[in-house]
Amino acid sequence: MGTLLGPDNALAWSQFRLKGGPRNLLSVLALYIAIIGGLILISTRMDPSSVPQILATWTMILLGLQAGILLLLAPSVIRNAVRKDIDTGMIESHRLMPMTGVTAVVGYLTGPTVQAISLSAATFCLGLGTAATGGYRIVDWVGVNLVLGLFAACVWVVCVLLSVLGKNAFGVVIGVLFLVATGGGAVASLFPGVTILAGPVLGGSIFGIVAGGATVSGIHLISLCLQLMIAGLCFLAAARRYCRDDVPAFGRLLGMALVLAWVLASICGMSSASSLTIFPSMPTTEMTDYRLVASILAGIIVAFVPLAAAVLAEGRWRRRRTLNDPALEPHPIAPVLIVLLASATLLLMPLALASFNTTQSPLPNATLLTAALFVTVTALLQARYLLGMLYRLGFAPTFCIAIWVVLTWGVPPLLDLMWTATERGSEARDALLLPTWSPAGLLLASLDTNHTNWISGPLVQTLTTATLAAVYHVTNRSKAHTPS
Amino acid sequence: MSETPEQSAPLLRLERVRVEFGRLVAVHDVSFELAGACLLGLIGPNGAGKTTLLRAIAGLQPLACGRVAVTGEDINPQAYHLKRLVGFTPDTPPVYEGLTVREFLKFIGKAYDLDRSELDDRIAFWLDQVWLTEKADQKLKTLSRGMRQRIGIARTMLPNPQVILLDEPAAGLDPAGRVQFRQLLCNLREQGKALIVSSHILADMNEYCSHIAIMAQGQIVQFGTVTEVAAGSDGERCRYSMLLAEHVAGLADLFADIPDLTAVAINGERVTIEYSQDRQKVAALIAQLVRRNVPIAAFWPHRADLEEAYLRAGIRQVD
Repeated sequence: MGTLLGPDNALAWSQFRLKGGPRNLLSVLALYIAIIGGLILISTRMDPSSVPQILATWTMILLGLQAGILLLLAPSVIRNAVRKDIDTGMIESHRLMPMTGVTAVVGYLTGPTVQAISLSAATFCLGLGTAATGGYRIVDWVGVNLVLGLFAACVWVVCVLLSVLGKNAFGVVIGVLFLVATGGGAVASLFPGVTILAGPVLGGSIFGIVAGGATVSGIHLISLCLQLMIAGLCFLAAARRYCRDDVPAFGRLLGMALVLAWVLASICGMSSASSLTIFPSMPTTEMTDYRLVASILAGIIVAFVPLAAAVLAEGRWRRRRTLNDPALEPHPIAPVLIVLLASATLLLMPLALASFNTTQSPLPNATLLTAALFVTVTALLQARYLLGMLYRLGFAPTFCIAIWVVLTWGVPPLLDLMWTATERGSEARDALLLPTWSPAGLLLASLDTNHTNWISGPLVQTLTTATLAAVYHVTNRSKAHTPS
Repeated sequence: MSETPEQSAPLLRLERVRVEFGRLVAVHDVSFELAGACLLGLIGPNGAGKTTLLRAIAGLQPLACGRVAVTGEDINPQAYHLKRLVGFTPDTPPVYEGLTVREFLKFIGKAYDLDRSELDDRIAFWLDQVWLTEKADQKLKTLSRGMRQRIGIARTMLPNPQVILLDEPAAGLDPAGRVQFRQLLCNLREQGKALIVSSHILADMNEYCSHIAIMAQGQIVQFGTVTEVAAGSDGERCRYSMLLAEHVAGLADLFADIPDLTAVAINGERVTIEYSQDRQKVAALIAQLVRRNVPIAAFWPHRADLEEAYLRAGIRQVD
């Protein structure tokens, strides 16, 4: 099945050869060391009286270079290698080989990146010298490089997954990260799960460590564990998708594991909010409730992943049964079971926060728990029926589901805002409580313990779910067809 | 397909294989078995589903229904041991253009975990078989289409698969290459391998195939040995030509009176008919015609011809 590491990994070997092999590697490495080493030497010669300060500055520059090599150069090299194999059809040639997806992903991680890894090692060695003579602690330099290196390894894995998924997946994630990083961290602060995962680089925490303003702490360890967990899931998903492009990267079980990972990251993020002062403007205590609501809503979106896989698998199974497939397998996990499991998993967030019962995370009330359960179940059921119809009709589910989320989650509060602006019919507006028609609005309303008149929201959401279920079942009876 | 004496248990078995692209059924419930030492020629118009069927057998195309089994085991993406047994060369084999020919084959050898001690020998052997020994250290991007086609064949053969699927393998080959390729296919067949070759060059297939499947609109419309398919749909009739000494009036009416005889064309003294392959019946027919004063100067059977059979099948080109 192929050797996992080293030159016996066929894919790693071929990718290394495609990058020019050892000759090219050595010449690039020598050039890099000569340029950087030369610049360091020249800068110290120009002002011999302030060599420690110059070398201290060079240490920070080298750390910046290190981050650039590991987080920009290497991921782009990986992306190019994977995309080229997909675009030229080489991936189909690979799929004919007895090479496991795991071996292939390791090949993509270690083959095309040999040059980047070598440059990184050279930067590390140069940094050791500058840090020692620049007045920094060697242990901090090593620690920071370790944190950065492990974080980069996780980023590389995510990069392989995104590249396998499609041409645009990479751009979408860059866009999301840009959104998260903008607004002084306001968006990021709403999602502690994202914040804790991106901890080593957001806001310059590793730069702070080298500069002596911070140390490698427990939060970095938690962050690392969560990163490794997410990276592990992405690794398996990439391996799965590499082998077959007709199946979702995250299947039912892997998708459920992703939901669980998101819940754990969010719980860790919320419970460590005080340690996560990554953005200067990031509020800590007063936003816990909003963070909880945002994390639950994001969790519902993450839960669409295993749900979509379950709906697709069930649709295909039904189609095979209709065709009297001689190789019909047992019935796959029912999507409703995924809805219930995902809802129960997402409910762990308010429950865990309640059990911590710290000042940063006040005990969630029963109304919030009920609302969270109701919102997750109805939102996931709606998605289940919608996905079933979309797969049957052969439409792109991602785009349609995104539109549905915008319509059902965003439009009711927006309409309410517009209604407020007209300053007419305020009694009717109060009675309808339009924002609660949206899952987000209902969760936010449940935080307000004084407000009890929000029955219209659950009613509308139940009606929407029932309508979708009815349409799904009626159309399912009339035409049993799903795309292959 | 169990006529040939050297055949044993089927190497390849397809059971109700169906491939769908959305609402389009590209391959429609195809079932057949292929034993070792069989070479199946897959013919049909563009869009008939030949490539999709080959991809499905190779495990590259997900099935909407049905199963493909190699040596009795179902093919699936996790059956890595079966992947060693199946080789597939697409019509345009993908290669790593930045590698040399030898490096590329070395990559294939590593991916198949081939014995390192004999890998170089195997590479040299297959480079010789596809006449690319001189190009071994050239980058693949410098090679012509035909040479890449040969590399694709070498890539498929290197791990020594038992079931070999070739999609339009001779399309990029020059005439000399085609002759050598035919010889290669015959050698592989003699080694007991099961081969499926899709091609539009029917004259070639006549020579090297043991069996023929004609595909149209995702279905196999004719299947059998080359002789059976070339002879006609029922495999019992054959075409014959007659050269008459002089023109005979009312010949069509005369033929209409003879049971089982079909007049295909009457062009003056040259007549083509379709009749039983049974020699006794043919002898009786000739005697009957002579008795009825048909001046037969010459009478000969048509050689089984795939092109004719293909056209007779009345398959329309898919737009």
